[in-house]
Amino acid sequence: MHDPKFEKDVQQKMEELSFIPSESVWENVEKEIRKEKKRRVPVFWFFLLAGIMLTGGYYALFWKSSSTGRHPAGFPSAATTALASRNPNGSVRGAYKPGKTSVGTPDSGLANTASAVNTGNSLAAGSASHPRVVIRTFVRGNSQTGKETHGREGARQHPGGVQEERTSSGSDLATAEPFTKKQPKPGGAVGANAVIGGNESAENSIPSKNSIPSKNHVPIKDSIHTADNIHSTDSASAKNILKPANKALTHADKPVDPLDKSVDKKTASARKLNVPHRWKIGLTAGGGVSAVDRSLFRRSSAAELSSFATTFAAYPPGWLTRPSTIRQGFSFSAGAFGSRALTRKLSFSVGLNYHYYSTSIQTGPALSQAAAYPSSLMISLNAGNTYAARGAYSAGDEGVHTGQYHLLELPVSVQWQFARLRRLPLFWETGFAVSELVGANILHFDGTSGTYYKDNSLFRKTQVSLSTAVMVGVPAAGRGILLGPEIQYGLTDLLKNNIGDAQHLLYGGVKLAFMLGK
Amino acid sequence: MDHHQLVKSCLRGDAVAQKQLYEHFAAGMLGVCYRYTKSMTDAEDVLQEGFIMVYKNLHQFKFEGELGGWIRRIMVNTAINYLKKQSRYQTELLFTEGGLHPVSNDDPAVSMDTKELAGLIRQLPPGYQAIFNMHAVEGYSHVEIGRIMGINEGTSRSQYARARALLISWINKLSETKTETYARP
Repeated sequence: MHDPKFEKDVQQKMEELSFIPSESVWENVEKEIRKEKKRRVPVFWFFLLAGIMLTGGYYALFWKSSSTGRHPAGFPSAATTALASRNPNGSVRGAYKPGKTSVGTPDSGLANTASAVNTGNSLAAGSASHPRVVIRTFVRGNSQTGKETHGREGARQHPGGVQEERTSSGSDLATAEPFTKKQPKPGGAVGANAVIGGNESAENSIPSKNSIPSKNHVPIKDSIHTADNIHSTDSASAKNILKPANKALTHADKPVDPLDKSVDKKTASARKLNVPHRWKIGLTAGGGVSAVDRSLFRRSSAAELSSFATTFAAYPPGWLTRPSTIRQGFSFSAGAFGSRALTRKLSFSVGLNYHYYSTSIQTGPALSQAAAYPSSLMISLNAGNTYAARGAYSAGDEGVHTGQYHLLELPVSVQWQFARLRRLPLFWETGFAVSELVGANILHFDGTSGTYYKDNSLFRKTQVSLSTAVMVGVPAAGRGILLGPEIQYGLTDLLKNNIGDAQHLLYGGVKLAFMLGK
Repeated sequence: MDHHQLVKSCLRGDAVAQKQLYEHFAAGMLGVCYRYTKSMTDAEDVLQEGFIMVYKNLHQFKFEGELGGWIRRIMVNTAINYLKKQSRYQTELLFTEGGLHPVSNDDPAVSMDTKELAGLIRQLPPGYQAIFNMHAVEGYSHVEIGRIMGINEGTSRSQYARARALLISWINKLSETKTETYARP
């Protein structure tokens, strides 16, 4: 048994042991903790933005869609109420009118656009015994949509009138940081050359520090990490990365003078070379589903909804015709992008994409035979344009019309490699896109006559959207391919004027991106 | 110095407080690192890495013990990790095998200078050095040392015994040399 006095003496002596560290220690510590703090800021915003996008996208695309159609037919939905409340005069509009009644049910997702319908004729022809409820929503300022009539003699006014309009916006994700298969670590070679002794010869030993700036030592671990990071870069950049890594190892192979400051400089320059600061070109494609969302930026209030519900509860079932539910449709995108690495894990990219969105609705027969329709439906939209001329359909469920949006997008995004999953790098990409609606065949719903018609002039041509994607890097065919789910949400309203609830294009799908060249 | 307030300020990102914390503990902690390493350069590397760990994990300090003790444990762990990394690259085993060094039954009184004693500890083989420091100075049990170092408790005991014997022999030899020196006219 040892005499504990020896241990106590040693302990006491060693407690007194202290040295003043050199200034460089604190400088390096401070540099590291500041760097850590700076690194956390963008990470926080990335997560916040992407989290909001994913939550909102999920809610709008899936949760909201699943709740569609739960209201009884003819019962006005929240969105309908909102439309009514958006009457420019601030009053609920509507009129009894003989014949068919149409009511918007925005919860079904129908876009409510401005519908300019002259209802004078139809009101005049109305039957007193069977009044027809015409639910007028609002009047757009747009001359093409016409002017709404309301407050007529003998007519009751109701809110309502639902139009449909769907436009598209959105962007495509831009670049994804490419990668290649993992390269072997040069760690063994490093270890073999390290000199660790039991005496002061250890002064020349190569430290095993990793991310910390090393004092008077070649940061071997940094070199190893450099090789590691090849995993997260594309094959083209892999060669560039390997070179500096090998350079660093070459330095490590030699006996290192701990006072040789140039070693640090050489290593630093080698480390800088790890980031390929040049533009790379890649292709991107994606496929999924698209929808129109109106829930995230709803304008109608609870009071409006309540008022509207009360008004329409008085009508018997079957009296009110509602427009079709807007269903999700197929969507895809394709394009090219240029990507530039900002750091080893962060890259910036811009691109050009074509994005196709679609949705579908149920309609009645086409109103191509204008003469066959009652004059009440022969409504002049604008200077002689008729429904027939606009490819109109009546309300109903006889057919399905697929609405298409064609957009050209200029996506700008930032991509961050945030983790690895079984050696495969995981990327989080987020950004925005400015897009131009170059074509559409969307039907708008006129609540007055219960018809659908086309009018692309109602769309806001320039759209801005946010997008986010989580992608995993998969090695394939000698180059890195990024694959993962993506959500895109249109920030701008699809329609030119703020009428009814704002409508935003929503896209959810799978994104694929790969770099060109080696 | 109010460590509680200092830690809170550091957690808020107060650069002045962070430097104060460093300046208050750096000298003592460098002494700790010095005992585990073979050179002052290595000691400063460990100190640097240890302080970075301190700042990164400061939010985990629960004020249940002394801040100095908490920082010291981080330094010791950092030093052990440093030794483990070093041992990967050297052919010499971390725990040198060999016979017990002869020792007298009477443990010597440690009358030498602190730095002289630290210098002797640092000349122990790496495995001896770490275990001696952890047990004799830091007060870790052999069970704890075994867990931290990834060795058996028995190995820790035997290594410590060898380290202790070797150190005592060196202290005795040094004392004799000094005595002889002083005795000379």
